[in-house]
Amino acid sequence: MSSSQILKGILEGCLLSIIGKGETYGYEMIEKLNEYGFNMVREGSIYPLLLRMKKEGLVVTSQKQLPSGGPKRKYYSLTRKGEEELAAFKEKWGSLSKSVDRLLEEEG
Amino acid sequence: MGLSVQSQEFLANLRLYLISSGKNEDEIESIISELNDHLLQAEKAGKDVSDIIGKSPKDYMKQLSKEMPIDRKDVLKYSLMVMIGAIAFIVLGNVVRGGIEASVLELISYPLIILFYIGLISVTFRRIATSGNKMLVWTLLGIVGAVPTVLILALLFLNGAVETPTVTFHSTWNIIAAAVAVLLIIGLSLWTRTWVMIIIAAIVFVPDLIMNVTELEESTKIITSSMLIMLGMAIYLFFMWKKDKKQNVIG
Repeated sequence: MSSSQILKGILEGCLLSIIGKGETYGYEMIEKLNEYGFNMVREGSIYPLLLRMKKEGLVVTSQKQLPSGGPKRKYYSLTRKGEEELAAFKEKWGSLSKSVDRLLEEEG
Repeated sequence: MGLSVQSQEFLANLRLYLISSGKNEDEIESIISELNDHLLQAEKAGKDVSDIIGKSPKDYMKQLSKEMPIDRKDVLKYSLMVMIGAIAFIVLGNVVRGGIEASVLELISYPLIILFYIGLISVTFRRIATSGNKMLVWTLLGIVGAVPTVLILALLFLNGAVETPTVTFHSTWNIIAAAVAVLLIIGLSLWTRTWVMIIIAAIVFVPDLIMNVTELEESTKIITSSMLIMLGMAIYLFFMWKKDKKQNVIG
């Protein structure tokens, strides 16, 4: 597994978590990721992931008219399957990060 | 405030890339409008298109394309449309120039040439969409433009060299074939809601029809009709160019 694949898996988990906190759209997801310090994520890279997550039935989208007028905006929300995937990610990440932390602490 | 030229160019190239990759039209429009929305906000925040999609638009287009399934129905629909349209034009051309007379070789070769051409267009347009090089784009367009002429000339040459049984239509059948071809062209135009096929058909075939009813000499007829065709094309392109310019000013 290449490092970019690991990163993609983590990014997918983070997107699930952000969408799980409430319906949101692409640019807002990036802003939230940045708030948490994910500035290594190239903004455009979320869209191929979102396409795949939609194909796999983890998220659904809906078009909403903006109050300011203009074109409609695409909002994402989690499906039941997406919620399950998020729970699985939390569990996997919890044990992975604990292991990595434990290993690295020994070095210090 | 609208999108920057670079962003608009990227979105136009992405659309061309996805269409020539045979993706679903609705899905293409959906991802384009989503990226349009993102780019608008990002540009307001002072970022540019390369901050969003990375250094290589080509790689980014491929990543998106990989996640979108090929729409067989759309591919079949467009291939069929091009096939029917092209055959209708060939039939009309034959009728106008004195009646349908096709050898078995031609009957087999024309559909093959059209299929090959659809494949070629798909590959070339994907290449054009991902190429930043203007010179290469014009070269590719030149090749795409020249290929059908070369193939048809090769077929005519082969047809003269190889003897195969010939199907000849007589007067009534020619009229029926022409009527069917005209109906097909009108039908396709209604379906795609564009006038372009009807206009091109009129420009290409009406001069010959007019010449057929005159008493001019054969060579005069040919010269006059080709001049009328070129004039018609020039007028049409001029109007398209004016319309395009007007739209760009508004948009």
